[in-house]
Amino acid sequence: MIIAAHRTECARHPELFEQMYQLRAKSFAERRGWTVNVSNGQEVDVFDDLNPLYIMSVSPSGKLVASLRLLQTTGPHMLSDVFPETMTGSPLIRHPLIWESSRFCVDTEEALNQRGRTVHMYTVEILLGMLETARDNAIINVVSVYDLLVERILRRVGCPFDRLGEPFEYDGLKTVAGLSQPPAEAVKSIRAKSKIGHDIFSANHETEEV
Amino acid sequence: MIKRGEVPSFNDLTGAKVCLERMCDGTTIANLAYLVNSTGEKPTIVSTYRGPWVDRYIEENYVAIDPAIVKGNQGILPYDWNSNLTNDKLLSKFFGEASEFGVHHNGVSIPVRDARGGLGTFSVNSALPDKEWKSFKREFLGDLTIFAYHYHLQALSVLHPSGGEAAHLSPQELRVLYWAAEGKTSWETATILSLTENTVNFYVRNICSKLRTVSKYQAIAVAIRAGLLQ
Repeated sequence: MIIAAHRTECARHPELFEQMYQLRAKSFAERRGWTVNVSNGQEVDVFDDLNPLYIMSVSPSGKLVASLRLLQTTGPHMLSDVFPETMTGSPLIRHPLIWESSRFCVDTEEALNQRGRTVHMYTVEILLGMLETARDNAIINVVSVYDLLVERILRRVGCPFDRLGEPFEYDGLKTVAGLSQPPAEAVKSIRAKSKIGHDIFSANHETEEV
Repeated sequence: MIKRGEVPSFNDLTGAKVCLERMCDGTTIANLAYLVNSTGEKPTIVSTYRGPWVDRYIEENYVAIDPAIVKGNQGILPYDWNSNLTNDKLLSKFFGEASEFGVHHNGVSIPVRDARGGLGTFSVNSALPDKEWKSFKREFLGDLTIFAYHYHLQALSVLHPSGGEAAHLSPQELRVLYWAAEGKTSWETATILSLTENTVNFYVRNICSKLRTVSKYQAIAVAIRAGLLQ
């Protein structure tokens, strides 16, 4: 199931937040080799101080499997404050109905630990979690900077983003800035493609399954 | 009532209040309130609430417990007042008093974050019954969010005249705006620039937002006046 929580709500899900910052350290520092700050095995940066909204995909046994972070583009965010325009090809973005997604990661080992589930299922679920939250709050687009591996994943789950510029080299990885389809349409096509009909924010579906 | 495509315009805090009052119709929008916490200063509040309630609010320092502020001010999601079921004594007292002073129970608080990281909260209070309020919110939340953002920027320029981010358009945005000025539709511009229509619509919206306009035509006019479009 999906849990959406601001950083100030950390005390309500202390284990999930800890697992998320650990998963980020594992995905971005260890696996991808990005230059990010890791302390006590957790990766946290300045944008986490802006009280972003985290979308978390949680397994039936209550473990965090995937997560991402949402920021308003009217405020400080990665695409406009970390990456120069000339690098990404994307303009500076300031729109109250456009969010930025960052720090998207899936714990592939944890996903495979769960009987009858796949990495793909968690990927689909977390993207739906992001897009449905966006749709329900009148958001028109989500922008993001990600590597080409993530771009392929997005295409595979039926959630293609439009490129806002040409791919560029960042921390040794081919990276690109992208723009989502309008959330309502994207939700419909992903749900149709992956045959998901249940409410992903409710735990009921999972108890039925077990 | 909120009109689609309305941009707030005022030059001082009195004007800021008049701007809010003009939008109130007693039913759909009963009251509006805007609060900004500038660093190291007392919060600035502009609202259409009656004087006694505002005095009471300030006197009791309700800004510290008002969920519309505490929750609305923090995250990225508009905060619906109805998600507010509480056993907290202080909060129950607060809600009880609010309703005595004529504050209706339906409302939404929209958090606004600006480029400098500053935060404002724009609250809408409605006298509509629950069902009508829900459908009003579903239809107009986007318009209210855009209005709230422009209102915040305008308020900042009143409070801190020298601050603010100068509008800057990227080369691609200028190309998109150029073709819009030539009368091309988004679809036509998409074909000319080898983009998707979704991307062109994104550029147009982003340009409008940065130029603080709400329509493509206004944006073209502003860009020409500013010498951005040659």
